Amino acid sequence: MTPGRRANAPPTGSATAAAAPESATGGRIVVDGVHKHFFHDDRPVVALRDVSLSVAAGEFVSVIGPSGCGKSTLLRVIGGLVAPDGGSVRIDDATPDEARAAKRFGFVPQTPALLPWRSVLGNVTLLRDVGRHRERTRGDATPAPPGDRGRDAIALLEKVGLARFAGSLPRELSGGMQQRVSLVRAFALAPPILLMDEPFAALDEFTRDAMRYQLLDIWSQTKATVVFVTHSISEAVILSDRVITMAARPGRVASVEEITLPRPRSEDMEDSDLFTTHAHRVRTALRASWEGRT
Amino acid sequence: MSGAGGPPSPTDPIGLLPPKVGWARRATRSVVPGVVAFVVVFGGWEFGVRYTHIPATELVAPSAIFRELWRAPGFFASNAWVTIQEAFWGFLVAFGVALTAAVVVVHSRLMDRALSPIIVMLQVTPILALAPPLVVWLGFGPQPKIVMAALITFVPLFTNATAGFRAIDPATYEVMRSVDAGRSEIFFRLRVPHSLPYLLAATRVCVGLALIGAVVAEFFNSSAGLGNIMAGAQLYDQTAVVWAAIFTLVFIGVVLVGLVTVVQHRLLRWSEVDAPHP
Repeated sequence: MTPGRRANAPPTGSATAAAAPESATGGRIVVDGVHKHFFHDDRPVVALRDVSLSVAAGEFVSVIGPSGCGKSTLLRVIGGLVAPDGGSVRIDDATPDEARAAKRFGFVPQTPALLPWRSVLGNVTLLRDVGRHRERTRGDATPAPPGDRGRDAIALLEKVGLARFAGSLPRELSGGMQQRVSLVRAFALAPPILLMDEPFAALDEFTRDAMRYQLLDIWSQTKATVVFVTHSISEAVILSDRVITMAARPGRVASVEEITLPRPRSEDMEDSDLFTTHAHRVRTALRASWEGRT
Repeated sequence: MSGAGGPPSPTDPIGLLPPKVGWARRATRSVVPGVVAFVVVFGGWEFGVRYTHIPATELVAPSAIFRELWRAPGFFASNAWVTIQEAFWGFLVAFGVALTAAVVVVHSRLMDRALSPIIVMLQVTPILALAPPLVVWLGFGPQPKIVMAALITFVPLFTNATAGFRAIDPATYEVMRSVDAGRSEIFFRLRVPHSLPYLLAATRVCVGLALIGAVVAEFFNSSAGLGNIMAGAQLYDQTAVVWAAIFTLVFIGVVLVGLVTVVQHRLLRWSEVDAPHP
């Protein structure tokens, strides 16, 4: 068994996952007719209007759209960080809040969001430590054996080339390295669902390009469901099984593009005709949603 | 050696890095400017007093002040100890109350709104003017001094504790929420460490404030302490004694601030803002 995997991770199937098989651990997301509005200067702004979508277990879905289209809000509604005003979200058979309590989400924000006083390893294991007291008293969690915890994390850090920085403080790392730590922190939970909010947006282009394939590399071993918010078309196409384009004001789903590029994906696919066709279609959808706005 | 580089070495084959500086020279470099400034200020003072014939009741020369300290070091030390204890307990009381209030305010918008006018009132009150009534209420013992030191340090401690507890990164907060971290876990894992730089900076400021509070309270009706010495000596025109007490106070302040600085460097190695540069 590959290091960095928990016993409950789904089997490592062949990675052609337009319609990934429904795995035993789940990770299916169903969003049904979700509404959400905020108040901005005392005027209501509709962030999401009647948004419905479903993501199969093990599927990699990107959400792309102009600023203010509610893509980040959608991600937070799925993750139970923002409560919707109407509609429902199901994570397998649970509500987002229940899924959160069961640590079924790995959340990767745009900034690394590391605790500056904790070492790299300490940051990676942080989320597992959260709520351990509660879990122990409730007795409904199966904590990994103590020796295993650190080793899992080290194996993941090794995979992204950061094992020798395990004892370093975040401020001693570059921005790209910090963001890799943030990725590893989410994967270290071995969650069935990963929620990523423009995780590479703050990085320079070379680092971004490298990170895409590093992400795919770690992900291919877990086959977790991924919802990936981005505003990069090429990023969305090369990473995803499906790209969902959203339109703004009110935030809504504008179109869905199935990406038929085979897996595992590689850098030279970005020069292929198929990639260009997909990217062109996403761009067209994006432009239509942008023009429809005004 | 002039120019940018040092001699070539295995790690620096073409000698680009600046030459290594020994600890003795580094210490000299960091200490000498301070010593020079000290000598200039006190030398000027001494010179000024000697050659302008200012009466000794108005201003005394540093040599006379140091002579006073030399004559009765135990006297100043024992009174300083009284003042230090009052200041310390006052600071500790303020620290406890300020932290409790900050925890309440950070977690309850209602309490925040209820308490903020009182905090502002406390902030604009000239606390030192409260010394006479405090002595009337609390008597001759250490209580009015402790209360005074507490009152004068409360606002800086409270505002910094509140700011520190609130200084958490929203993205980190969301990451913690994504695994259902509760209020207490967010408090201890995020807010408390984030508040440390703020609290230590406030403590640095409050060392001096607490001593001032205690001394001013001692001016009115006390039986010991540096403030007591000053008030008594003033009465008998012993200006050198007044100054000796002031010097003692300064010395205590410098030592305590130094201690806080050491703690800051020890605890805040992770902080980008106040990191010691290697």
